[in-house]
This record gives sequence, C-alpha cells and structure tokens, in this order.
Amino acid sequence: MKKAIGMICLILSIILCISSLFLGNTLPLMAMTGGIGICLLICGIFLVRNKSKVKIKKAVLKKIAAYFSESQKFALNDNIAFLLSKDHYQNLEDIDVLYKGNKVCTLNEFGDYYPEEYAPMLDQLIDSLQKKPVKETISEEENQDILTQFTDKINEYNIAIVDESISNDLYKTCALLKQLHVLQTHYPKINAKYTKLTEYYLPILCEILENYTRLNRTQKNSEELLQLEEKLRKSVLLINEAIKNITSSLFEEEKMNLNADMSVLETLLKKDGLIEDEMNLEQLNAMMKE
Amino acid sequence: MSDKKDFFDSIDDFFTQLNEKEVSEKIHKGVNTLNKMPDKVNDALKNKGYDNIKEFLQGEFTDKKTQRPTVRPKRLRDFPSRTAFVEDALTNVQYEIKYRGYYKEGHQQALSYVKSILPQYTYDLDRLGKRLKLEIKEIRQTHHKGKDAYTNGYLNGCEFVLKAIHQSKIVLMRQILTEMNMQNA
Repeated sequence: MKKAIGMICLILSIILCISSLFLGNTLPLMAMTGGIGICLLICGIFLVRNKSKVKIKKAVLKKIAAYFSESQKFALNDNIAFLLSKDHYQNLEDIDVLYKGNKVCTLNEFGDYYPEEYAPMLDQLIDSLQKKPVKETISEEENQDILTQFTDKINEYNIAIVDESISNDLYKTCALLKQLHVLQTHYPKINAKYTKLTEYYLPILCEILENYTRLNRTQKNSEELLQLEEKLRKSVLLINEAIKNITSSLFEEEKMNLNADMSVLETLLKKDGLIEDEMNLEQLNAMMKE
Repeated sequence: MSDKKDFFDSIDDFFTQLNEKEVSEKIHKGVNTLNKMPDKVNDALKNKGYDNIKEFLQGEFTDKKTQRPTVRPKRLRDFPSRTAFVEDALTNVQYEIKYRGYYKEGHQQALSYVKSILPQYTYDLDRLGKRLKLEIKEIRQTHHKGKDAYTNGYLNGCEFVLKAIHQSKIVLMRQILTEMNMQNA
C-alpha cells in the first residue's frame, strides 16, 4: 500500500514539475507548482524506499553458516530447535525455527518482526552453538516412526479407493517407503530431500487422498471426481519417482567413494606393472577364462 | 321493499363477483403473498445482517458503529503451537449487529471448513495461509460483479483465518524470544 501511494506521488511530482516549466509567464504559479512537485517527489521517495534491514555482523553469519554446512538441526532446548530446510545452507531464510516440533517461522523473519531483539537473539544462538559442537540430526527412531505412520495412513486411504490403477500405484508408494525405511537403518544420513519428503510431500499426498476419498463418498461418477482421479494418478506417480530418487541419493556418497576406490585400485595395479595399460573388456574376459 | 330487494340484490351480485374465477384467483394470490411476506421480510433482514426485527430496529436506530469479527489477541496465555492459537481464535467468535444473518452463516461456514482441514497443516501453517489466499482470489474473481451476504461472510471468514495465522506467528515468535531470554538469564 505504502509503495503504491509512493509511486503515485512520484508520478504526480513529475507531472507537476514538467507542467511548471510551461507556466513561464506566471512566476508565482510556476514556483508553487514546482514546489508542490518537489514535496511530492520527496514523499514518494520516502514511501517507496525499502525499510532499512537489520544489520547482522558477518562473523555471526559465518558461524551460523559453518554450523549448518555440517549439521541439519540444532536443538536449543526441549522446546526450541533450528532446522535446515534445504539441501545446502545459503542464508538465514533456509533455517526454520521449530517450537515443540512444529515450524513457527524462518530465522530471518525474526528480523522483520522483532528487529531490536534479532541481533541479540543471533548472538545467543551462536553462544549455544559454540557450547554444543556435537552435530545434531533428526534421530533415527523419529525417522522410522514417521515413515511407518505415513505408510499406515496411505494404506488406510487405499482401502477406500476403488480405482485399480491408483490403488496399485499407492501400493507401490507403500512398498517404496518400506524400502526407504529399511535402507535408513544402513544409511542413516538424513538429507534435506528426505526431510522435505516427510514434512511436505507426504503430508500433501495424505491431504489429497483424504479429500479424494471424501469426495468419492458423496459425488460418485461426477465429472469433477474424474478430473480429480486423473490429477491424483499423476501426483502418486510423481511421489513414487521422488521416493526412488531420494532412496538412491541416500547412498550417493558411498557410490562415489566406491567408484573412486575402484579407479585408485586400477591405477595402483597399472603403476606396479601388474596389468597392461588400456586393457579392454575382451582381454579381461579372456584372462578370467584362463 | 324494492330498496331492500335492491340492497340484497347488490349483496348477491357482490358475492357472485367474488365467486368468479378471476376474482377468487386474485384473492388466493393476495393471501399467498401475505403468507410469503414473513419469509421475504426474514430473507431481507438476513441479507442486511440481522437475525430478526428486533436487531434491525436496534441496528438502524442507534449511532453505535459495528465492526466485522476480529481476531481477539490473547496476551495472557502461552500456546504450544501456532495451530493451537488459530484453533483458539476460531472458537467463540463474536458477531455484532449488521454482521449476523447470512453473513454470519457464510463466515461460520468458512471457519468450520478451516477447522476440518487444520490438522493437516500442524507442522507448517503458512501452507494453509497460501491455500486460503488462492481461495480468496478465486472467490473475488468469480464474484467480481457483486457478492451476496453469504459469500461476503465466507470471504471475510477466510480473511479472518489468514489474520489468525499471521498473528499466531507473531505470538509464537514472542514466546520463543521470551524463552530464550529466560534461558540466558
């Protein structure tokens, strides 16, 4: 609203200033018009400019960046926690502030609503981070419980769904979630994609399934329902694809390490002269047959 | 004698006229209209934001200005989550005169709809806010020519919830800051 009024003031000021130039004969009128134009210009600039942002020390931002580049979560106490909501930390907007496990806001929003208390708050956070250097991640138990809860919920909704293709896709979703659950025990590193799955994608899918089952009970065979079924089919396919990608991303690091180890072994063998350079697959197969 | 005969004749003529189809139809119509009048009056009152005639008289003949339902700030209480704040805001909403009738029905419909979907947004209430903004935009686009009292109430109900969601963020942020200060002390 302020910006809109500011823009109007700026436009009016320009018009008045230009029109004052054409009132060459009447000096007092020219001066008055010009004066009003300049006042409107000052008002417009004042309204349009962004409010001054709270200045945060670079050292503070560096310390927070250093912590969240290695860890995903920091629990200040039993109630308050700070959770990295993206894959990599870029700025304070990427950190969610949780109160009793539920998101309240992002960390930078404290600067918008409580600017005077923002800098002391960050200083306090830094002090706490320095006292607790141990990396914090979401506990395995919490993780496994979440996946099981979602699998049970999706199975519940699936019972009420008559459409075979949607039902089959949902069975696939549950199977993929169970697979993810099992892999979590071997690869417990939780990344931001996984967090998004459990905190955004799966809850949204459950909401869609609930609305669909409710509508299915009341409006059978309606056009709206058929359109919704089509959208639901697509959504479930996308979620399945996302779960597959997240599953493979769990052991991305291990895959890279394995590839690197294999390359190192080959290089060492070549260096020691135990194998010929540029040995191809056919030669290798021939050696193995011997 | 002849005058009396004429008088009775005229009465007979009068009743004969009454019994004619056209006239009896007109009488029926008039009676039906009179029967429907209370419903029409009730409908008109509800469209204006009143539940009954008494409220209408109170509203039209007082200088006191009434306002839409507002989110009442609860400063003396801590909330465990933003959802709890919003749930609290949605209960015991007060409707002043001129904001009752169909407006109140629409407003309460919006609030009960939000209450039913609120559990799905326990973790991140801002997603519910985005959903409501889209819904408000859709309603405004569909009813850009004019809204009836019910639709107006529904729209204001959605806006009421948006304000509650916004206030919940501010209140919980204040709680977090207080707790951090206490911990530091």
